[in-house]
Amino acid sequence: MAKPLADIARQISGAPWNRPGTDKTWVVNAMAQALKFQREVRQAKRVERR
Amino acid sequence: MSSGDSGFARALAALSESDVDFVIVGVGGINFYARTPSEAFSTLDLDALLAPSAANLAQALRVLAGLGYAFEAGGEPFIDLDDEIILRRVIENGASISAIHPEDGEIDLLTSITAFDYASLSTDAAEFEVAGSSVHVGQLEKLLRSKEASGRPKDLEFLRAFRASRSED
Repeated sequence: MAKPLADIARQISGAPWNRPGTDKTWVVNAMAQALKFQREVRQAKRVERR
Repeated sequence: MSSGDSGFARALAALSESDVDFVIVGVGGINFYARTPSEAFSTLDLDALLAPSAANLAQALRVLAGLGYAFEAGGEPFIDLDDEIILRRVIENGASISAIHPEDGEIDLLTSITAFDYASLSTDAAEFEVAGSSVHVGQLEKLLRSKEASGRPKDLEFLRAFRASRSED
């Protein structure tokens, strides 16, 4: 049976990598990097279509 | 702050250092709880729920404008950055303003989200560090419940994917 979302959330929130004050700069850097990659793929597809 | 920090990191640090009251929500907020980059979900923007005051919204707009962001609301350019009456109306309507940077991406400045108000999200928000500054992120359980309550197909699809990927942990 699937674990309730609340249980999953509590378990993850209490994990050592989510202690208060943890440096999460890598998370926003990773999101920015993924967006940049998606933008470049879209651009490459536009060039290919020409 | 390091020179390798992304535009998102710089923007969040600048908002925090300028005393803008905000809590990160949405998929971007959920990603803060990931253990590794491979656990993070793809998203087109970062959502920041602002404390609902015209002064706070004005301050957020000023800070982001200083970093080169332009603004849109309802698909139209939003230029009334200092017009208190209009900013108050944005808050009364629970509307959002998209802050768009040509290279750094988009930050959605929200004044409301489904199921929670700012006070109930900020009261127990998790405090993490980004680019040397302290930022607040909504409790994971609340961010997931907000998605559940919205009932939008894309949010429900996200929750299915989230549950599938994290149930094994």
